[in-house]
Amino acid sequence: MISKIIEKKLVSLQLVRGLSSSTARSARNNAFNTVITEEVATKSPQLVTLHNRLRLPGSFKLSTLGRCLTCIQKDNKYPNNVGLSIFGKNLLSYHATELLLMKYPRLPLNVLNNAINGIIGDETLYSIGKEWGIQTDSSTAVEKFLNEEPEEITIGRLRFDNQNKSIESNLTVIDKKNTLTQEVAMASAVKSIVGAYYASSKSLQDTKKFIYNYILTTRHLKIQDMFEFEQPTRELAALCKRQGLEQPVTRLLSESGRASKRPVFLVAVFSGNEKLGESFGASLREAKIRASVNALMNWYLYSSLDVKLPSDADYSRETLKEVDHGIVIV
Amino acid sequence: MFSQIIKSGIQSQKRSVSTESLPKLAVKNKFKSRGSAFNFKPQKVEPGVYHQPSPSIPSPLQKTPNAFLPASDIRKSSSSEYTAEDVSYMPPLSSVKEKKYHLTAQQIEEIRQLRNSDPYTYTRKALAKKFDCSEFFVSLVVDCPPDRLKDMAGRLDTIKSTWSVRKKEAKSDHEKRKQNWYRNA
Repeated sequence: MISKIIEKKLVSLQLVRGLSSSTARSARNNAFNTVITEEVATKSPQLVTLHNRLRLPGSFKLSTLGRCLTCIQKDNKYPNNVGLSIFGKNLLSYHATELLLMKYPRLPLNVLNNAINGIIGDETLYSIGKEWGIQTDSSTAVEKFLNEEPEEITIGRLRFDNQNKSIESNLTVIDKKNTLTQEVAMASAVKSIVGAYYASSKSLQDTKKFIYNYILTTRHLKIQDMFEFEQPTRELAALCKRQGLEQPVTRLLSESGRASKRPVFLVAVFSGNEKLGESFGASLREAKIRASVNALMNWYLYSSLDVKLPSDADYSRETLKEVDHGIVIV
Repeated sequence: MFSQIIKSGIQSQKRSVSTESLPKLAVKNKFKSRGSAFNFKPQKVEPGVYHQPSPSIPSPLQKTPNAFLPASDIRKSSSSEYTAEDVSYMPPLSSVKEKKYHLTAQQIEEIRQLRNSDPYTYTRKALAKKFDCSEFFVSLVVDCPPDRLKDMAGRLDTIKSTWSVRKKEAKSDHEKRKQNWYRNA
């Protein structure tokens, strides 16, 4: 009896999309007949809380915030966040690239790319979104219907077709077709909030402030751990030649227990009288390689004292002092 | 250097206040209140900001060497932190050889020919000695023929097969540790 009622209601709500013809389905997917209204959005406790928590401006409507949480979905009656997310990603990557490039002007390209991914990659944005308190909607359409979940509760959660669906306990279905992982979905929500921030505030400076306060400065990236060199001694010699410095010479500063099981050698690389790098090792070879690596890191991680970003109001081309010559080719 | 530090340390411990007011001990003993190391009187430190860098190697994020600073940077100084005398006390690990650039194109072609014709006689070492250049230069000029490379790899595998489990583990651990040299980890 109960199952019959459910079936009837499901059909009436057009939730069983599989039964309709394919052309009708595609038409329904493209045309969003329902839009999240401001009236409904103001009733949503999650949206109001998130809005206040992120100190979003008044011009950022709650209905827009609801849209940011709507990912691309198969049976979706609301407009999704795809466009906003692409826009937000571009804003984020602009600010992250600018910050890293101006702070560390000599950063090699592959380290730069990985560092950007570390700051604004999907995994990072997922943890940021979780910290913001964005809840994910894990209930199915049937469960929502049976619980008589109101619309304002549904729109306050992150909605997406999950790649990993747990049907029962200890049973998960992985469906990679037209689905998103939780990380990607949450990241798209965070990106679209950034995009919507600019779209609603129409101020690049305010958006920049938001990005710095809530995303870029919230994580500590260990950029010194992202380097790996193949031939550090040769690379350093090539660098010194390019920069017009004297050929590097590795010199022994101190040592302990040369004949013992655990010797320690402290060496430094000198170019003339200038010390380029210093390190230690259990063998002279190890210490020499480590010292060269240290010297190369000293070169690549140079940072000027007064960093002015192109997006700053008082930026001019004249303030750009250091232009990098690029990586050293061995 | 250490003896100097110790010496200056003793000097700094010199008493600056009289011990006349100290109470006399009732029992007669060998304690000399005037010269005792326990009678420590630290020198007064003037108020101000003191920079005490950690004795560890400075991080690349903290300090860029003077030679690597661009000319526009205000931290760049014209003189080096070290004098030639300081550097002379630090023995170099290997002597810097001046590059000779003495080999002609014909000789380089000869190196290639010899290496490819009989790689077992004309090894990298033998060619370096014959042409008075470095083994590294020979490796730049010509690669090892693939047959010999395969043969040597086979020989190495034979040697490795005789290794005990402990030796194998130790070798693989060393390889893993060696990767960290190139990462500064």
